[in-house]
Amino acid sequence: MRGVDIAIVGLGALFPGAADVPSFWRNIVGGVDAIGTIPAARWDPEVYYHPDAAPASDRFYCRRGGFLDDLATFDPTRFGIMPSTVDVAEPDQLLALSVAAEAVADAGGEQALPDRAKVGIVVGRGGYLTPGCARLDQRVQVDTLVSVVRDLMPGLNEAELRAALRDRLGPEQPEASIGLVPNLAASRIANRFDLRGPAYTVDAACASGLVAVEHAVRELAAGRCDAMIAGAVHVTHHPTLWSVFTQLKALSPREQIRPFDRSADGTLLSEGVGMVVLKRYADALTSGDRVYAVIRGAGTASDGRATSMMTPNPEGQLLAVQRAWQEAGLETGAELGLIEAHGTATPAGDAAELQTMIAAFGATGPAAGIGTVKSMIGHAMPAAGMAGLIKAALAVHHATLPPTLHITEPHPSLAGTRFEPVLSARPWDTPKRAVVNAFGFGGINAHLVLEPAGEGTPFIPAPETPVLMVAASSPEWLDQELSMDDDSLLALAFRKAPVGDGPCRLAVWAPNAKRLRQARQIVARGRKWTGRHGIWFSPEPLLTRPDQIGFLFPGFEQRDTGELAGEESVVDHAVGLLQAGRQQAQRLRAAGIVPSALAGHSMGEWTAMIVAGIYPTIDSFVDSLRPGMVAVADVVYAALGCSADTAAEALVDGVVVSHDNCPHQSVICGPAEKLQIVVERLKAQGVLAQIMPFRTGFHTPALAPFLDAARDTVNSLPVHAPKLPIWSATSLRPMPGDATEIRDLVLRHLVEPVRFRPVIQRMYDSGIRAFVQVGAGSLTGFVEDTLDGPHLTVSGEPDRVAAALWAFGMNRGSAGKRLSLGLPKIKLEPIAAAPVRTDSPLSAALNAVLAEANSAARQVVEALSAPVVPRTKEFTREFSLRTMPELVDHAIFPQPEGWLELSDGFPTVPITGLVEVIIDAARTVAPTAIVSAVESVRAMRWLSVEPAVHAKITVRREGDRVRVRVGDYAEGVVVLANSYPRPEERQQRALVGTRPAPVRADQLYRDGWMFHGPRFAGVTELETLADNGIIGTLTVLPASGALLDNAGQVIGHWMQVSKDVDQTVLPTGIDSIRYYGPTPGVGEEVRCTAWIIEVTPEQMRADAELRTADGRVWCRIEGWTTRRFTTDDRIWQVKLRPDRNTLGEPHPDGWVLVTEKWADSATRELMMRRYLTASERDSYSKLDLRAQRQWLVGRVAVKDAVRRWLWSRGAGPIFPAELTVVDDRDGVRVRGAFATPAVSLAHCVDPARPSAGGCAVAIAGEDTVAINVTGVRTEQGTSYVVDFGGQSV
Amino acid sequence: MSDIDVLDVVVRMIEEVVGADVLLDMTVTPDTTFSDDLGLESIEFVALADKLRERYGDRVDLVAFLGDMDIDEIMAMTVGQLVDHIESHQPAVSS
Repeated sequence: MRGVDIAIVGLGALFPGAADVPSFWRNIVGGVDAIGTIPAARWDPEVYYHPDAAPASDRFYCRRGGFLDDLATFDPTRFGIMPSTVDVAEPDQLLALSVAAEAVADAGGEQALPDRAKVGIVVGRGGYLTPGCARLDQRVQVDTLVSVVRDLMPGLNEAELRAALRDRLGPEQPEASIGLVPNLAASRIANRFDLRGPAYTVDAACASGLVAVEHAVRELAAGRCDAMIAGAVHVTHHPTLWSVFTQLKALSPREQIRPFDRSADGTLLSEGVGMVVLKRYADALTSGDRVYAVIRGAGTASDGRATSMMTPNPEGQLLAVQRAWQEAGLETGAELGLIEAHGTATPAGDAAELQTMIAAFGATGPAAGIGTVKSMIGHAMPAAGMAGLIKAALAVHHATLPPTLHITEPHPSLAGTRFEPVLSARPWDTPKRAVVNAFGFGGINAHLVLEPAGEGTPFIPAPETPVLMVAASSPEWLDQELSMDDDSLLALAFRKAPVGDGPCRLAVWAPNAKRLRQARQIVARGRKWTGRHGIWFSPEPLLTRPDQIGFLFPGFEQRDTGELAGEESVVDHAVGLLQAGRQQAQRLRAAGIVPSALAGHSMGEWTAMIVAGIYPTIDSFVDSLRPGMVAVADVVYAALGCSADTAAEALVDGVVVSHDNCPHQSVICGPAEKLQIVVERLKAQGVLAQIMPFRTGFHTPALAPFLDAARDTVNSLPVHAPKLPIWSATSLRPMPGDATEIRDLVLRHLVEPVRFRPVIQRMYDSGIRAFVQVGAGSLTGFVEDTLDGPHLTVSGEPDRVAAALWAFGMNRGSAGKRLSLGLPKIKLEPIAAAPVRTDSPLSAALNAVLAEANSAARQVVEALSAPVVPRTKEFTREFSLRTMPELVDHAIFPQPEGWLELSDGFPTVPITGLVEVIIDAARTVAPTAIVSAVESVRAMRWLSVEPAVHAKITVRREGDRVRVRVGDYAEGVVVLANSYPRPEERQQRALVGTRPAPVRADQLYRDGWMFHGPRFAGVTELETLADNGIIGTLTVLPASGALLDNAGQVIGHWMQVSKDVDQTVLPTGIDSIRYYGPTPGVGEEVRCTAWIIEVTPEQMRADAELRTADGRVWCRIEGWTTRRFTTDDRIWQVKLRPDRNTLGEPHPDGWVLVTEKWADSATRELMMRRYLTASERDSYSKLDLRAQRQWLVGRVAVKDAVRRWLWSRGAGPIFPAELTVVDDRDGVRVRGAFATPAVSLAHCVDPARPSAGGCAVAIAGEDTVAINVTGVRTEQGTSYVVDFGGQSV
Repeated sequence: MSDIDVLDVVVRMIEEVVGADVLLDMTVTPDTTFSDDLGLESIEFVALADKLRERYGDRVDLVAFLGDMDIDEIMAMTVGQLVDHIESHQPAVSS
């Protein structure tokens, strides 16, 4: 009976080397071999790989196959899954979900799915030991292992061994184990998409995927469902699976998979996930779906009572083929063009399959291609059929015959038949029916017949350019990585994914032997390399923040512009430029490259405006160009090899400088004969000059007569405020948001010169470090010529740009979390008094017994003979913005946006960051233990990271306690345990006088209550304030120490709003921090309740409790101790808004008075750092203590007098560090970014306290000013007499 | 004969313009091209021309030499072509 035609309307794929369907197809037509060597995290070749030993249950002769590791990422936030559960979930469930989501999105998204009651999901999945189950198995085997060891070593401390083993496996997570039920691979998808049709898994061994599809086809054909997701998942390389296939001798001894080659000797194991969305073809046509291919027939059959369940049987296979064609209503093999074969490359399998194909379709007849995707990715077991089906559907859709790899001499059975292996991709012009085979162990066979939905056009994407990306902790380590042979490096380059981890990075675009040689030299030399020969190398990150990338859009360039003269050709060219620029910007964004600022050169500024959304659509802007906005004046341009200044000196009347491109290039414009005079003058000075091939008059007064007409056009066009800053090369500022101002600037741009050199310098000064040229042009050269400081310029393909930026520190916003597909390796420290050595007789006996047990037990021997971890350690650690870039956001003294002298902000390691440093140090002597507490933490000195500090760290372990000292900065004691303790029951003190917190969490950071930048701004809610405490919600941020720092912020904030004197507090110590579980994942919410336990004039102490979203206590802090710093109202106002307030008291006559209110050295240091610049701090440090105190009071007075003077004349906010005070022969002067007045300073020591800072007065004014002050001792204390302009006050 | 080989001077100036490290293990010969082999940007070539002018002055009329070439032709030039031009415009005997 003729079946119902089923349309494939959506595809999702994750296979070795391909994270999605487009990459999968590109790899297929490009013939990419995605086979690799097993990563040690899956199973350790050192343990199992013994190619020369006789195969045994734990002795494998093969270690190559297909591996997902790099690509196994999952974005929990996209699916509403708690990030913390990702690590303990079964990876195949998560990957099945994300691939199903890809297929649904590909089919038009969730809104394109019909009534969910009639949508179902069937997933092929085997019963192999998957990573999640294997991890649980390790856990439940602990007692078995302990009892084996106990039998051998009766004196063993069992509890300790058991605890140590469990410890190594991480905390118990009962809820995670529940999630390991295998059918959840389907259920999770149904749950996420609310599918209420059937949802289940099927296991038909290697035929599982196609059998799942067949089930889905039946649901649709019977009308029970209107759409089905079908697919298969196989994500495991557990040693037991390899053991089975080793003993079957199914794996290739040569470790190559060569399906249908005469010399094929076995298969290679692989993994993957494939999903399709299916609908009835008629429905798909009605709803206008894109149809990749139509499934005409699906057939399955068992071998029945065949000779052996392990031997492929052509009779059973043939039955499946015939059933499928019968269902298709077609003569078997009619118009067959391609066989996507099962092709495992085992001799028996290939022979049986070819025998079936010949029997089914006949040895002679029209040619049909044959091949299998296994030749590229290996055998993905239950998911293998999906890889084949997706490949065949894409081949049909793209009318392209895809290649198969590794056939040097075809299988003898192919000789003289119509079946031809396809050796390279080619357009498919023969009849376009395709079949897919999947034959499973135990004799389950499946066959599908596909045909195109319409006429496809061949689509053979160009192969992607390979790029090698390697990261390491230092150039030395990177050098090590590069010591592998060229072939291995080139194979890595085809994966296009970074290898290794660390701040020192190398990217090589399109590597070959020559480039690899150059790259090795560059790395060996250890200095940065910025792109020449397609190589980028940076020993340390240049890009430490996400807002340092700028896009540059080229305008008309000398090359490829031809002879642009007429209005039409100019408009056409401009339109082409706009479209190409916008498209390229989108491609860059799609590659994860997000700009924080834009600029354009000449007409490129229009592109930037469109990309930034000033003009809402490109169409309206392009239309506006047509009716004459673009006038063309009859003038000529010449490009000059000299600066704009040099050019300007040679000008004659009528010729102007139209472009200041960079120090070595400018452009002039004018009528031809006059221009020639200038050019000749300059040539006589040896300046290179070339007449440009376009004549437009842009950026010169020649366009002024056309401005009125242009104004009408510009005014008629709607404009919006830019979505990100565009730096105008006309105004040298970011473009305004106001419509009138934007329009004015657009018109000025037409008649004023392009000042590209200065605008690039401004962008650099604003913090942009990487300049990406969008499309073809010369702008990167202009930038290189202009900038002196560290920067990067790059242009070209998005992948090339991404690789370059990655090498210089950019981390692409990969939303996904990498899933662990392996098993924790059990290594233990010695537990017995006399460690067991492998050469002892006891150990020999132990080995003998264990060898007969299972291979997992081997790990115990390893564990017992593991090297002794030292108990003391000493090393040096670098603390710098390079190693801790996040501390830019933990800078105590906020400075103006983009302030370049980072030391002025005083970035410091928070006390909680020191706690992390202390824990890290303790791990060097206790790598596997759990940290249950950190006690007696003391911060002795600020640990500021700019400039870099190298501190000696000493570590000493005493039993379960590790004492750590970080230079003379901090110390603490780490308490180790075998597992996290349960939080002890505790009756917490009640909060009294509770009321809503007066300050909102977002105001904390915005209004200066907290100095913290985004990476430490984790207090997301302030709920309750009490007389004796405070409650807030924290959101976990990734920066080291951020979470507990946020708890500290909540505590400190209590002080800020509860006291009105000396309310500035900074932490100095913590009695104890107790952990009751692992650190919550990034993005999770933690509720912090703090109790204030003591407030004295000198300090404030608090306790706090942190609970995760499920209400459990994660951490308790006791004795969080903060120092109070001298604070009066004036100091407090300066803390909140240092750029708008002064410590100096203003006098109505215009002078300011500063008295030293900071008698204590700690407060004085804060004031000093708040007011002085790096060079001033240097001078300060050279003075003796008494001079320092007086000097500081004077600097504060001068800066405040000048700031107040500037404010009185309308200046905006000014931070103290923006001004530098200089003393020279002529007296005191002030330098800074502003017009600075004359200033006079006088100082007076308090006669009662001659060593104190006394007071200072200062006055600023247009012209010469003078002020004096003297101190008089009276009975009431000291009075000061200020003498100012002849008056005494 | 000049007292210093012109090729050495040109190589040193290339290093000054693009940084001494750029040549890696490459030996610059008269056949080395500016764009393909050295990876020079056009603006860097202008800077190189500036330096040559400073050293050799107007005797070496680079403007006339390069005047007829477009930028692609200039970049495709070999180091040898530039050296030949300079040598042919040097005084026969060094001062």
